Amino acid sequence: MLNVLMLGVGQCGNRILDAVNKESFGGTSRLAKYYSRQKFPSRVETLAINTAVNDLKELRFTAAKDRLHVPNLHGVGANRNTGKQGFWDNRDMIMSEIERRGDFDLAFVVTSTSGGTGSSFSPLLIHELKKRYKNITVISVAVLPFREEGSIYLQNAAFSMRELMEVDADGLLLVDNQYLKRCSGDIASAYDTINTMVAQRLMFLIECLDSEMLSVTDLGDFKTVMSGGLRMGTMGFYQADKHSPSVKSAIENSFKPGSLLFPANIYEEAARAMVVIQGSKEYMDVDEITKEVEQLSGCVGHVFKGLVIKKGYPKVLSIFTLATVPEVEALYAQAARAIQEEKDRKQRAKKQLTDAFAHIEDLEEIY
Amino acid sequence: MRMMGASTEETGMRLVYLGILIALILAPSALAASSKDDDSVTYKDFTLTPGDRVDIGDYRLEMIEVQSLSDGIVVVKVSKIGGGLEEQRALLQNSPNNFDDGADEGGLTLTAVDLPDDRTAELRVEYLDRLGTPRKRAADATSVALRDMPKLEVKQTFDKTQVRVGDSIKVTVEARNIGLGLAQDVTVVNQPPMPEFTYLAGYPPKLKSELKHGDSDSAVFVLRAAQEGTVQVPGLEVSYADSRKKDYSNFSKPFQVTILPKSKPNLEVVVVPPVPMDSGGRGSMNITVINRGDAPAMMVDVRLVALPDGLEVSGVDRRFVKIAPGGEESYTVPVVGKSSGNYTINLKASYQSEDDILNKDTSAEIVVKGREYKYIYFLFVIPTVLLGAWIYKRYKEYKY
Repeated sequence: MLNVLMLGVGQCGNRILDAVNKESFGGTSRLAKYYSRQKFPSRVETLAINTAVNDLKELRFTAAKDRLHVPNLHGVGANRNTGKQGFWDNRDMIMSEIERRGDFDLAFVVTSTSGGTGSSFSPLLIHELKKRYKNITVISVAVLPFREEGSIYLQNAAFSMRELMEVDADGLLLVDNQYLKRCSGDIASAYDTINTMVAQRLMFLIECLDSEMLSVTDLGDFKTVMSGGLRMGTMGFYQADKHSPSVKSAIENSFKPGSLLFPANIYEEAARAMVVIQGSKEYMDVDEITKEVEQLSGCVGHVFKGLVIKKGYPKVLSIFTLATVPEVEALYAQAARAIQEEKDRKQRAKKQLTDAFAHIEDLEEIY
Repeated sequence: MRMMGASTEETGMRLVYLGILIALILAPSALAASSKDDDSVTYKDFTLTPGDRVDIGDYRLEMIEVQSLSDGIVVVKVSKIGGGLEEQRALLQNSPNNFDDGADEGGLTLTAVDLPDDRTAELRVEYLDRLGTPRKRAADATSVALRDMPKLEVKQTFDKTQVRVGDSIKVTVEARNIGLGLAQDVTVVNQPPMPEFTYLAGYPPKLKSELKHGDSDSAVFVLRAAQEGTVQVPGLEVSYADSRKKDYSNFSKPFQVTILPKSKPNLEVVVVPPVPMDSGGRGSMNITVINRGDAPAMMVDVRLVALPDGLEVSGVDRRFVKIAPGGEESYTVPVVGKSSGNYTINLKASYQSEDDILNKDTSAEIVVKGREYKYIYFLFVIPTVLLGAWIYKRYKEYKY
């Protein structure tokens, strides 16, 4: 059995973690926590970490003991430097809280790249995890901001992603809010939808990594996939229904941009892939599955295939690492512009203020 | 002239009469004066029958009767004019009897000298000469007739004044001759039977045909009360005749008899049901058969008429040969409540009276309660508390 640690850092990470916990209750009722128990496919320990206590209070499906408040006033105010200092100040407390939960084979650090706490804590946290747990595989689930959220968020995302890639994380699964915004009309419901989508994929991934499969994919395969390309990737997911129960179409649909958490053309940009298919035996046409996987392999290079026989219509989870990430490059360009604009704006303001002060340079107060 | 001669003769006659009248008036005074001079006792014998009187001075002697010829007893009554003496005494033959201290003291001394028959006595009366000459007055005819008249006193007695229909009454008829004469042809007059009675034996009663003075006779007859009510039994008539065959009759006093309804047994069956029992529980039912009537109930059969499905009762059917008036029989039977409900059980007691078969129905209600789940509310409370505790625990688990 896999020992999985799932850390939600910062407001965004907390909420995705809460969505994961909700999924563990069955994912349907808001009252499920009162009459049901969490059912994870493996031993999963969750921990929500935040410097803003109010963000922790908003969680609904995460047990109180799984919420860790790092005392640093009320948040870090999107200032990554303050966040980093907060982490160093509380590192031992944070790590002891994690270590108290035992050993882990796999850790997911779910965070927003643009916020204060998550973007500053996560690289340092991954570093500490890798240092303290020798054989742990750490995957960062990084959420990219809406592009119109502001220059600081873009700046944070740029620097945070770079730090995440610089630390020893075994991979980065990207979730692009801007891309997923299309899933829902308004921002508030878009957040909920995105959180649920991420949670479903992570739950299914953990289940697949720890299931007895017809065709096995395990943590090693997952690590291999995540080490491919730029070590950045994303997840696709599709669940067939009674109108279209075909496993072939389910696999194809899971590759489509609409099923991915980050905008990518799988057939052109993916470096490695892992495709896990779950469903009733009558839908699991191995020839078709093999054909589809072979077709993908022809474009991607290497595809790990996993088959799980479980009652229900076919469900497909596809994980890719990307060889090229133009959307990330665009983000960085936009971030650079924003930083430059911010810098210019600041210099202009400073000059204006200096000019304003110059008016009274030789004067004194007279009373 | 003729008129004048007649008048002279008439005047002479008047003088003679006047002289005689004066002589008559003066004669007793002359005799009294001579008596005072002579106080010697003299006597005189009289033959008397009942009612005859002899007057001597202020004394009057009357013969009442010859009471016993064989014993030589005669009854006389001596009285004194103006009171002071009135005494009736039986005189033994040849034994002098003094009245007012006897003749020597100015009273009388009487001696029955002879009793020729049962109606005649020869009495010697001794007295002082100064009392004058005794004069006998014979009894008048009416008086004699009274002495010959019988008179029957008739009594009718019942041995019970209150009976029940069917009971027998013994009636005693007694006739006593309280008259002086002999009652002859004594007969109880046959009266029409009364509907309230049936006459069992001895009716009409028969008495001796002749009853002397003082004699009595009785007869008994038996009646049976036939109808209830208060019956006024009229007096019984007894007819008789005197020695001159003159008919008489006399009645007894009327009598009242109360005839009550015929005695009957009257059973009351009292059922004391068991206290309300739980379903499946056991209890006991007490049955008491009481004879509140005034006749014994015979062959009393108590039986259960119908048994409801939800009950199990055994041993109710019983037989008692006899239950005396006021008596009772009691017994207890087990009851098992098989299912809850209010059940009515019906009992019938049949019994016999002297000439009838009677029935008595009784019912009793038996309550079988549903099984009581004393702490059933815990089934609600405990899960609610547990659920509340669970929810609270979860709430605390997830409350930050």
